[in-house]
Amino acid sequence: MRIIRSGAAPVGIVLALALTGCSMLESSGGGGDAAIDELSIVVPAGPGGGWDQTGRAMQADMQEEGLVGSATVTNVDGAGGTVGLANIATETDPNTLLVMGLVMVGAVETNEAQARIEQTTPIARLTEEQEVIVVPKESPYETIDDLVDDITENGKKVSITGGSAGGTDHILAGMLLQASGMPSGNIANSLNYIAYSGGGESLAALLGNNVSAGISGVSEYAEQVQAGELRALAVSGSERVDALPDTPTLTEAGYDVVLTNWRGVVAPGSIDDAEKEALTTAVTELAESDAWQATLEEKAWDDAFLAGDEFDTYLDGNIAEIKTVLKDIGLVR
Amino acid sequence: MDNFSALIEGFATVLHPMYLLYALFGVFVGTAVGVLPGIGPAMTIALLLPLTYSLDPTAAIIVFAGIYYGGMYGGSTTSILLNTPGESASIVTAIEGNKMARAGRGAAALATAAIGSFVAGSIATVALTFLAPVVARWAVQLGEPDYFALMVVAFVTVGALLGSSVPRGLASLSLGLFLGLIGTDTLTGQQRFTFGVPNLADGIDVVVVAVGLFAVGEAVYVGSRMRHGPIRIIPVEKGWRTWMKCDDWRRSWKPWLRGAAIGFPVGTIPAGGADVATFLSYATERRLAGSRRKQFGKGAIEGVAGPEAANNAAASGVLVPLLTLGLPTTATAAIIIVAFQSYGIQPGPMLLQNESSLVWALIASLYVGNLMLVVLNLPLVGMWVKVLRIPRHYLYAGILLFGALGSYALNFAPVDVLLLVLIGLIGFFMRRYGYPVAPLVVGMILGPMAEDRLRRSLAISQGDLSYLVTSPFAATAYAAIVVLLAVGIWLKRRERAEEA
Amino acid sequence: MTSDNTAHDAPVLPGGPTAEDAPLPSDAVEPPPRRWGELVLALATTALGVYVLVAAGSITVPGSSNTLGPRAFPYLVGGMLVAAGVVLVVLILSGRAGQEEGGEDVDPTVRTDWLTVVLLVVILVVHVFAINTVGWPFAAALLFGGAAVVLGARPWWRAALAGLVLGLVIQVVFGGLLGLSLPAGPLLEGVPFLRG
Repeated sequence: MRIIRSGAAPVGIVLALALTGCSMLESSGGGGDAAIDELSIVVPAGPGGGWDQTGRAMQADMQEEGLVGSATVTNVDGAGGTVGLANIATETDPNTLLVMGLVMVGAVETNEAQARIEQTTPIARLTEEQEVIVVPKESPYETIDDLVDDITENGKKVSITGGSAGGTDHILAGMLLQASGMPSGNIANSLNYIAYSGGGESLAALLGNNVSAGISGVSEYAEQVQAGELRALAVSGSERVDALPDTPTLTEAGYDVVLTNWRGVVAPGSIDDAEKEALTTAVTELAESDAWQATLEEKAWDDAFLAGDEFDTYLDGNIAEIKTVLKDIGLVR
Repeated sequence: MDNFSALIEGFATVLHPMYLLYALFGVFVGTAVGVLPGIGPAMTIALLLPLTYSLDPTAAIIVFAGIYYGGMYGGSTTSILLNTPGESASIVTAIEGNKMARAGRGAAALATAAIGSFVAGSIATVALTFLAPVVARWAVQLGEPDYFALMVVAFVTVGALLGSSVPRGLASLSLGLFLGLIGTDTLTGQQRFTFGVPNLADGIDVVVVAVGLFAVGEAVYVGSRMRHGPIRIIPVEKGWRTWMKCDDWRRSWKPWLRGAAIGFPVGTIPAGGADVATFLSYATERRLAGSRRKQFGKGAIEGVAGPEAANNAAASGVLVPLLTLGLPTTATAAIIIVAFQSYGIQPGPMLLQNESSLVWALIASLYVGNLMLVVLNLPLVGMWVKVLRIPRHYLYAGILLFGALGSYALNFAPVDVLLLVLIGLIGFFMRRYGYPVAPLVVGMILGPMAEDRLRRSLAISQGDLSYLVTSPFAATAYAAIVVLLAVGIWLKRRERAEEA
Repeated sequence: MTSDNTAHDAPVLPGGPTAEDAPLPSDAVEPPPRRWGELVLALATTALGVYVLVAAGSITVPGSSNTLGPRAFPYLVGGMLVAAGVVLVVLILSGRAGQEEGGEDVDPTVRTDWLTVVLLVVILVVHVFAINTVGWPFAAALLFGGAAVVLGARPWWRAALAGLVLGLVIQVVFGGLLGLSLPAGPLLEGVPFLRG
């Protein structure tokens, strides 16, 4: 309410911007004893998307909890995050974190990027979101088996829609066919994947019953499923999701597939062990803080915190797995 | 009448003095930021999102509505005055609007844009109030072939932009199509013509191209042949009475209405938003201009009134699938969804039932925001046109600076500014040798859309071409093209026969 | 596909020639040097088209797509570029040159001032590289001041001052208040309200 009180509009605006908007005033906040004075968070995407929201939430919560003296967010957009990755690979400031995730793992392969995730120092995985496989309400498919059987039989007559080619949705489609026992060589010839630039656009194709099935993040489709416009066949995590309690996981349905769209942070490759330790401590304290838990609640992100050697191992396994899937769906040679 | 009473309730909420001030605040900030090229409504809302966290949801949504409309309008101001369109939907405005400003008719151009935005925005908001559920149902049934048909219609109307030398127009169009190819192919994820530069993998932003061609190209061109000696100062009319003369009103009101009629439905369908609507409106106005057609390209007020109205009507149209189906069809709509979510509101088919009062408050605040836009901007018209009286060297230096800032602000990558310089040079040479630049920008916007739609259609149908023409919408569209072309040829024949 | 049979009904466009400004056919008295520049541009268009056609063949086609793949449109666009370029070359060689754009800031009798063009481009390029080295506000001051001086602003220090003020104001409003990631540069590193 304080925005308006000052009356004269322009002055009020400047004041309001100054009071609420930005990092300028949060230089205090008990940062005196923080191990990291100035943290720079690089978001390898434009404002508004998932990575940007993660980066900005980290900025706000770390400052609020006094884990760092101050934090800044820089957006470096481009090529599925690989432009930002290239920046971090050459970054020399040890107090830098790059927001990244599964999408970047795929993008590095499909873009044949010079900079690779292996060149960075993994810090932690923070959040994840499950994928959901849906069909239009008019669809004949009642279970995930119906859909997979039809693809096995009729191949490309069955069209599956989702986000960009080589993204999480496309990868899950490939993994599903792998798990159904389809030989690697046949997957590229059987999967008719209709790529859109985002989940919203693919939703239009599903609601108009123009495609056979769709894959996207749970948050993109859940509302439509609850309203009865779409039918959810399966979710992709290890446990069912709260928003869709009646939808089985792929594992329950008999497919050995677990894939979540995870997000995490990495640091420049050049940092030493002590610097890595300081960053890991700060991020671990963030993940355990009340502020971060409240953020997860508010944004409906699943907590998927994983740090240290466990994250290193997870990341290596993830990169190898994604590479084989992308080969099978014919995007990477 | 159920909707009507709900709307009245919405107004009751919004007309609270405090909320009115919020609306004014939103419109002001939206216009102020929207004036900068490269920062469109989507980025404005994303940037100001943290600011609204301290507000209650209703207040925040009112601010968003103001920013949304303000941002849409702010882009047209710089298009008209400085030839630097801030987003793809105001590129067409720059074509006629800047010529008007150069001829000392800047105030009329700004006024017709403001009033036209208000008229069309109001009509579209009324349509949103009463038709939303019906229109949304219809729009979502359209498939890929229908969108492709719409793109074909848009391409045919581009004929209007080719200029007096058809081969030069086609060369310009093809160059635009080529620029549109650069980047990652949506359907297969393969990079095309990126020369191994990672920054090109997402393609070249159309704002960089538009600002490069229009603003930088022009500044360099003018610099190369600057009038030395006394400079004729662009006359700026004094007093608001002279902004819109009787003749301007007479020539503007029909384009406003037609713009609204074109913009709302095109904005509603999930086909890429307002830019297509502005092209269609411009082409329509040119076709219907009759004896005044010769003025197009030299500052025809119809060419500002129509597209600006279409732009604002489309902005309301975009909210139809967003509010009734939870479908974001533009980048701005996607950001608005993020904004909703930060208040725990999930847009979707249930939104109208679950959050009825909030939705109606939003719609009511659209009416209010629209009115605020006119109230705020009409008095400012007189101030804005004074920008043109800045000495020429400072004016063009400023244009270069704002063009560079806008391009840099897209991704915060200096590479984008370098691209801007390169495209500015291309624009300079095109100007020098009489190549029209408008087809280039249009080709760059429409080309990728048309390609994706066609290829998706054929992927779904597995190569069956009949799929492209069998849906009612597509069939109607193609039939309309054939009829229009036939009538056009017939008219031309008759004209020639009379001349002979 | 000749330019004359459409000239009477097609409107004049921005970037297009303005027929009424030059009612007399000025092509006849046009000095020949300009034809060379035009010819080069038309040849460049053709060359770009050939390049697009050749390069399209090396785009990877993933999987086995039995429908339109990623190469189809590049072939089409390349073909259009070549066609338009060839027609233009023929037109120019047969003596039909394009008309350059008029405008009230443009003096048609002045010869092209190539020095200004080169200087403006140099200033823009320096601006690009200055953003990350000296910071955005100073890069902006350089661009504004430099361009104004090249375009005729005197005295030079007033232009430089105006550029500096403009750069700092934009930095405060868009970088500091709105949170755009405009780098403030090493000189202003410690000033908190400038940071994006």
